[in-house]
Amino acid sequence: MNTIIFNKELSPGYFHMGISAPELAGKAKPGQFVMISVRDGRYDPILRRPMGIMFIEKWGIEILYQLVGRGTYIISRMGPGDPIDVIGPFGNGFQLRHDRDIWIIAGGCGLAPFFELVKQLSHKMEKGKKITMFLGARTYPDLPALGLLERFGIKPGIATEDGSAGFHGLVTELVENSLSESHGKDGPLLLASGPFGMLRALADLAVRRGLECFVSIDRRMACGFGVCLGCVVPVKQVSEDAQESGESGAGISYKCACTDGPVFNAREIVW
Amino acid sequence: MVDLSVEIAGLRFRNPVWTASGTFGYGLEFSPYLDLNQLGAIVVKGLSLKPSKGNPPPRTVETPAGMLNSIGLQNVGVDAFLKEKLPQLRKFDTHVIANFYGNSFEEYEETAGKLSQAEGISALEMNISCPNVKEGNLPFGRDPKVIEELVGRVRKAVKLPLIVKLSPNTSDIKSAARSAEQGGADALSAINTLIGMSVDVRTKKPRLAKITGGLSGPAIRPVAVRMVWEAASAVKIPVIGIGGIVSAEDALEFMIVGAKAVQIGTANFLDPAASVKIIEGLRDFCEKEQVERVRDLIGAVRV
Ligand SMILES: Cc1cc2nc3c(=O)[nH]c(=O)nc-3n(C[C@H](O)[C@H](O)[C@H](O)COP(=O)(O)OP(=O)(O)OC[C@H]3O[C@@H](n4cnc5c(N)ncnc54)[C@H](O)[C@@H]3O)c2cc1C
Ligand SMILES: Cc1cc2nc3c(=O)[nH]c(=O)nc-3n(C[C@H](O)[C@H](O)[C@H](O)COP(=O)(O)O)c2cc1C
Ligand code: FES
Repeated sequence: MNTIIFNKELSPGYFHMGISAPELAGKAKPGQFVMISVRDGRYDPILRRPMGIMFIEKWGIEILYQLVGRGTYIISRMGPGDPIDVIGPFGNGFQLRHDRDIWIIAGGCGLAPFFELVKQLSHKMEKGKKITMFLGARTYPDLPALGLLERFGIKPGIATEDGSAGFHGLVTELVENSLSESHGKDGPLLLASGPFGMLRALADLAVRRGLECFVSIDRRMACGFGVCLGCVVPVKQVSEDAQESGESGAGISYKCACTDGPVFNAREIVW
Repeated sequence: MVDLSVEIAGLRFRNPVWTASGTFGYGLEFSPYLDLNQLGAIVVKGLSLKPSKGNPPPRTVETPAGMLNSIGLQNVGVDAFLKEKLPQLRKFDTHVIANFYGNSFEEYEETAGKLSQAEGISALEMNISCPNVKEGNLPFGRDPKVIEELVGRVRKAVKLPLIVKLSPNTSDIKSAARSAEQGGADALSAINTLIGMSVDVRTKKPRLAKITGGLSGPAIRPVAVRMVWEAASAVKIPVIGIGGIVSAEDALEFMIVGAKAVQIGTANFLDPAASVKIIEGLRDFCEKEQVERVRDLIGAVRV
């Protein structure tokens, strides 16, 4: 059992929680996630909820979450000192590259896993290489924790669908507009997390512009550690051996978002 | 010291708590959370002759006190299991039970034959809840006549103890149990998941890509207890109880209606250490209630 250190509502519906979990934190990497029990002593809701790791500290981890349903409601009501059952870290996480320009593209709470990434990378970037961030949301209040980014000296490009802040439109459009004509093979490495539609649009952009792109994929997860096989993502099939049975389309095979991911090369996924 | 051991099909188990197929991977995934050597047995994910890539996603959805799944029996295939997974599992001092299925009589026979030649497998558990592809995709486990023939054919192909895992999606579990016994099963396990469905009322779309899926978790426990009770009273061979067990008391409920052992499924997702906690809970219960041997509780139901 772990303990909640703080649980603050940053803006309506968005929470920032610190959880004491030194052992877990000692093993964690940027882009990994944890599975949080929301059972509250009962069995409805029953399954753990996956949450990205926002910050890794000596004493534990921090998460950034949006209130969307019953599970997140239950944890939003908890306070400092309350016990919370967290297991992990799970998943592959992001590769850290100091030798390239990195463009981070996040939608809503998809921003969470990038805090730790930026924390670990920002002071280590090779000369001339930098981290650029683009955040998208439906409307300005859906951009939580912007203030927390300032400490890394990053001013993200912002896109809102209703035009309430920054660029009026989709974040993927903002990214595309920001790419200069010359961005080709030596262009930035794209790292993204957010709604499926955003990731798909970005994957498409990456292919059109010849950019490398890695995305963190959200899937419903029953276990989080590779045993239920519920969280699969369709990927392009490389070998033929898994083709024999099963009712899925040809040329597709499945990988688990929890163990093979959540971070995938966008080109590998069958969108 | 409480004696938790049980004997089934000539095998001795240090306790009656096994892990259920499809919820425990190939075992090793759980070693960060518990000592595999403490388990009564590990039942591995359902194996088939050829690797199977399973159904399109979404494959799971949470439901009240349970979940639906339509994994589609994705697995590495029997050959890869024997070559890559089994050698690692063999290192543990725990019975390994290989769960398997087929899409035809021949596939069942061939898969069982391969498994029974391998070293380090204590018993086979045969999943008969899957569709018979040659016979209009009707599940094997629905028709008592088919069950008897299928079990009989597999029985001839293997020397290892054969456990037949019954499907609850039948109107008469007693007939299914008797047919499996007649076919030559050494033991029965029950239940597999109940077919269910869940729909998003806004999009009007089913929540699973395959529309329907198997329901598991505490929600199915009363149905499972009833079916285990019926099956146990219909046959002489041992019955292993499965369905929604999350605590030692739940496990005892099954044993009291006649189960000689139990399997823990969905609970492994909620708490990866659930199975050993249930073993500890059984020991505590027996100590408090002054039960010397847990097997004394088997079938102790007063009706
Ligand atoms: C690897 C990973 C990392 C994530 N990181 C974050 C994060 O940092 N911050 C954050 O706010 N959210 C994150 N999510 C999404 C988060 O898990 C869901 O918002 C949460 O499970 C919703 O639970 P609920 O009970 O409030 O909602 P409900 O809608 O009531 O949940 C019902 C069921 O659907 C599942 N579910 C619902 N929405 C999602 C979703 N988007 N992705 C996966 N499963 C879902 C739930 O887990 C639950 O089983 C992440 C998801 C994944 C897979
Ligand atoms: C995700 C998942 C996968 C499963 N896969 C298999 C399988 O491969 N073979 C099998 O015989 N049963 C399978 N089952 C059924 C379980 O072994 C068990 O019979 C059922 O879930 C009821 O027990 P529970 O309520 O404790 O989970 C699966 C169940 C779940 C939830
Ligand atoms: S969530 Fe269970 S295998 Fe990925």
